[in-house]
Amino acid sequence: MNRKGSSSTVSFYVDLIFMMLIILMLIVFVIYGITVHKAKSKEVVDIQSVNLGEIQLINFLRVDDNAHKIENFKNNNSGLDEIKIELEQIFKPSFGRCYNIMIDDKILLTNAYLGEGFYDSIIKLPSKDGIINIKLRVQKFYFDDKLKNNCFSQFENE
Amino acid sequence: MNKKGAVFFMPVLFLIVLGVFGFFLYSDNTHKIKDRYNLLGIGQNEVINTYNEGEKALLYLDESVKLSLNKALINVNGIDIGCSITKGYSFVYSKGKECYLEGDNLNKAFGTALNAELDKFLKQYDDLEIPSNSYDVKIILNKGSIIKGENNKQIEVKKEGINYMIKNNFNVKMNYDFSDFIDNNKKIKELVIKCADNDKCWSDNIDKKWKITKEGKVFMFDINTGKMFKSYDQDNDVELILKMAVDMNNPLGK
Repeated sequence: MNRKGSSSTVSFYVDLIFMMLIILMLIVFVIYGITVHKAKSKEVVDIQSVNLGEIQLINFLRVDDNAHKIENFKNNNSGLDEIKIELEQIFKPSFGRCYNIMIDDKILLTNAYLGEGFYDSIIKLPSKDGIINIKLRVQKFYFDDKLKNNCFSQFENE
Repeated sequence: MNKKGAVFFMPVLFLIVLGVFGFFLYSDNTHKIKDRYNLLGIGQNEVINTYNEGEKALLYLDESVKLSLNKALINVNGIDIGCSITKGYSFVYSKGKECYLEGDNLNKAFGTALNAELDKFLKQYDDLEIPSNSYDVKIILNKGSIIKGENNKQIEVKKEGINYMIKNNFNVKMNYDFSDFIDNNKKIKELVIKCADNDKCWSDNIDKKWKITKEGKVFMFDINTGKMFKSYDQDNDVELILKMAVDMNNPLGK
């Protein structure tokens, strides 16, 4: 009788331990899945914003000798207004995003909201003094109306 | 219930769950590339990124050409287009052989000068290799001119799982119609027939803007076009002066 009782107690604890292990594994499994999914979703959004900004900037630089105007701006800070007007037309946030465009450390075009999570892209242009880097900063998507309004109103006020 | 079965049920279930979990992790780690492209937008982003890199290289190429055009124009002098050179002058006629700077000869001379300038800029670009110094350049006259360049070697963008090849060509507008080359070569061509090796005839008939230097039967001309061009490496504009020569020894190849 005693041997029977001790055997069923052992069996119970063995079952309990394995059951707990299984539950633990399932919890780890779920947490892992959620984390990976979150990270991947975030990555997609960020990369898309950079891609579109780059394409727009390349198109901007290709027309009307704009690359030359950028070089002038870099060398002697001249011609900013002319470039700004054109850039604003192209980058006016039809995509619902705000941009910061910089040449090295000089801000060419900025906007009101500089939140966290904006990304750098570098476009290279030739010059007599070597390569000019045009640094494009692109912000993330705007998820709430407040930020979106800030961005739009800033463009309209300038 | 069979107690033996009850004892083995949980360990077996544990092993099954462990197996499933292990298999999932194994698949997740060993199919990274495949998984990346299965994620929403990742594959497309890779394609756009690759396209962007190509566009950036083409933009750099276009801008390099624009910077190089005027310098190349000024440097056309002294390029051997098949009739040799002397003291920085290109022979456009030498002992019966014609190399007038028009049509294909003009394309070749200007192309050589442009390739040399372009090469300096393209070598600085380190994101991708832009094959240089071998553009086949053509001048198309059209309200100024359009400079077209074609290169057999393509620009290659290589990424994980993507191999993108782009035509390494450019097509840039130039605000100059090359009339100085065409008109002055036409004039030289006429004088070669009219004057042959008669140096007095040459002196009497050349345009007043030309400066002639004679060495035996070799006549060298400095032709001031009066047109100023901005070269990227000089602060002041530079006048386009054409330097051409004719070798009238054995005139008309007789």
